[in-house]
Amino acid sequence: MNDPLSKLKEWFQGGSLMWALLGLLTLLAYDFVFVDGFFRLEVRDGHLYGTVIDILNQGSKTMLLALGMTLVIATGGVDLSVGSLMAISGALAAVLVTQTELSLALVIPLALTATVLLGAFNGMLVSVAGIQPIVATLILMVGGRGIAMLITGGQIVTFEHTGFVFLGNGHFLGIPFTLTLVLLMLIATSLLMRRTACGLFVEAVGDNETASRFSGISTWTVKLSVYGFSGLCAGLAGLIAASNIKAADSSRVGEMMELDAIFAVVVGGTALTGGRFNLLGSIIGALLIQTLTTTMITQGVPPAIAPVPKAIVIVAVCLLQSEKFRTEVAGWFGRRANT
Amino acid sequence: MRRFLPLMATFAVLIVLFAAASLMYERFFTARVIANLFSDNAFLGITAIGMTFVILSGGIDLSVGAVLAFTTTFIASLIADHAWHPLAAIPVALLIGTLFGGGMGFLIQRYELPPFLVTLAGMFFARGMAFVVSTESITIEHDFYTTLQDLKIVVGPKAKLKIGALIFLGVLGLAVFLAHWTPFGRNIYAVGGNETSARLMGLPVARTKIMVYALNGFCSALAGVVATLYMPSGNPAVGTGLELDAIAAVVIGGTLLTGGVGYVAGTLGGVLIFGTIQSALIFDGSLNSWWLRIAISVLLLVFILLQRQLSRFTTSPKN
Amino acid sequence: MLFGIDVADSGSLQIDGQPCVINHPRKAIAKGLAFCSEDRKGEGVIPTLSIRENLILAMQASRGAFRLLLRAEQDQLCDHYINALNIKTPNAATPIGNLSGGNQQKVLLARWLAMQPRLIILDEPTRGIDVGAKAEIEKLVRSLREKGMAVIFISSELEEVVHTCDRVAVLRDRRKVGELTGGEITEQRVMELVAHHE
Repeated sequence: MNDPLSKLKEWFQGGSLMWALLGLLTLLAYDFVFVDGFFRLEVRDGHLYGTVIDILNQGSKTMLLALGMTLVIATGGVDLSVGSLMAISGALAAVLVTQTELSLALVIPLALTATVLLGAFNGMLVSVAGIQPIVATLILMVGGRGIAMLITGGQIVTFEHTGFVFLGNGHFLGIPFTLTLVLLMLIATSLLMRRTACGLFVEAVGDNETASRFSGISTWTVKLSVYGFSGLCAGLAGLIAASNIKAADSSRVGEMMELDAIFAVVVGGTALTGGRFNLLGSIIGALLIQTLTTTMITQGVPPAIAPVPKAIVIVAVCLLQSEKFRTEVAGWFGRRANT
Repeated sequence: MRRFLPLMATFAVLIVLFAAASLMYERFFTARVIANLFSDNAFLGITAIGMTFVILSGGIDLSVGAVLAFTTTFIASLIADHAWHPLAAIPVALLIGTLFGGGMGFLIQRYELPPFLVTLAGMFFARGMAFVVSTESITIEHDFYTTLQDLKIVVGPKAKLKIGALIFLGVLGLAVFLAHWTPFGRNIYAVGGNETSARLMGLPVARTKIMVYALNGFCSALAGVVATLYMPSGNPAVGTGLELDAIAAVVIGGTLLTGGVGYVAGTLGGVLIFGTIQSALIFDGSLNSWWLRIAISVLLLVFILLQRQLSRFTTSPKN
Repeated sequence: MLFGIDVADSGSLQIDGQPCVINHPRKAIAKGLAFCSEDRKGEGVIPTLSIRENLILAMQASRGAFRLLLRAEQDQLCDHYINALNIKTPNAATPIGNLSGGNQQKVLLARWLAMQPRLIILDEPTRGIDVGAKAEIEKLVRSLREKGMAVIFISSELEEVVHTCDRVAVLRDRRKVGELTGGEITEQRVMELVAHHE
């Protein structure tokens, strides 16, 4: 059990990320054949540019959300409030940066602390008050945007702060800084989950909460933590979003992104009911969505219609993950073989 | 009696809110304002009623806003671009909505797919299709529509119930009847309460579940029809986030998201609460729209905690 | 109740002569208690996790999330108990859901035995498992007793109880109706107590 390959497998263990990978590769193959210059990369001013880089850059928000969402879903829950939390962190940071003299080194932690605390609030509702996750996070989903708008006074707050702008638009070692952030978060989260017992506890709680509690795991700590972590990821994503447009647009930021994140997680191999999770799978799932969107834009499909293929992919993945469906399809082939 | 506690709580909140607003704003407590509550929130109301049934059965439906949008563009396109008569376009749209809902219900039931994800996909699909029909708003100009729009029942000085409110009330009545006086309604409650028991009792679980989503599809489409009467146009961007408002109204109305518990009347309360807060904000003029969201979320929190306490109360075994 | 799962209506608890209140399994475990539930599926087995993960779970929980048991230690524990309890499985990485009822029960027992508790509560441990595994578990319980571990063995199978226990408390309608020790323990006596033939 000690050879490197199986160790690698266990490191990224979880549900199968095969479908996500397959989908992504299929899409990329399509792009390779039908889209000119999709894979072209060029170096300008020491930075790497190209469609692929764009995908990685724009997908960074979804990827971050998906990281947080993975752990929440792994405990058998869901976090619908991440879009609104994004709005809040962006709003807070923008307002603090434009209306106070606080340095970025203070503003960013402040904004992130806010979303972590709000995430913990979600966690409290779920673990202590025993409220269903959909309902509990619905509260912040509805109200959080109101809070964000309250912070910005209903206006779109623009800013020019170079440091803040760098977050979403800068480059580090040739690749977009956002990508660096995502990679760091992925590595940090994976280490935290697999090099400590955190991952085990999360999976245990998601798979059988009662048995976990009887074994001595503090289930409410686990749940509180994953929602807080989701808040952190959402906060980070919100900062990037604000930085991207150099403004905090509380009413529109993060809209529908929670759904993309959930989609990425499920496609990536983590079951909606909880248990084994797969962080890398969620990242790939997020890339899949982003690639889908970008591919359609290059093909001239109006972005408003983009959700249609997304819908088909979701249903396809769900069907493939459904035992009943697989048995039924296998039955068709079985019957044909017998005639 | 305890069963009705959540319902009473909902209406208590409604009365308190309405009273507060009446005290704060002149001319709030008029027949006109009350009548408008029904007209202005008709499409939320119809959507929420459909959603109540889905949630009672233990499911959830995120596609309602998108189906509404699709219905509006579909009807508008048929009337404006293809010269269909509204009386032909409307039934077709309703049929499509129902079949769409039924389709989702089929996938959910037959393959045991999570309702959350299937209806999410449905939402994406319907929203995309709404834009496929038309990327922009299409105005509807037709004599039939003008006739319908002018239709009203006067209920007080300057207070009239327009066609939207009438349809809303009609749907409400039918829904209450369906829920409490038909086998279908009883089946929904049974399936939502405990699906396994329902199946063991021999109830048609599969059919009930599929039909509940079809019913909701119908309601969303009907809400779309009402929206076209209201705007009057077809707009693919309309109804974003409507599903959340509907779910909020249902929860505030006392229906448990786990299923099996709740009343359609409660949803009416939830919708009216929504409408009252919104009207109050408009009357005030100085408070901004985001307070609506904050108020609703606070109410949601309060009601959910209340429900939680009540259910703990009723299930503590003290024998 | 002993294990911190339910709340007692009355009475008190003393451990080592000190009164104490246990309101969460963690506390109970810290005091040296262990509990193997009768509802294996709902309260014991974590189906998609491997045998190894199920086995070390309680041990890991008692150490907290940040002091991970070394993989070598985990493997050692697994090998030990797979052999000692004769758990039939190709290896420790198999998902526990793939095992038979009897073998699952053995893994759960191992989970608790690894904690080396002072008192272990076994609630219907032989329910729903094949005869061979049942005999093995009974043998195991007797050997635990020999080692000085206190065992509360809850069962509704008379033969088992008579065969295995030193002291029997008979409960009817949540009340203790009698206690038997040593030679008094016969199936007949137990049935009499249950049926209230005093």
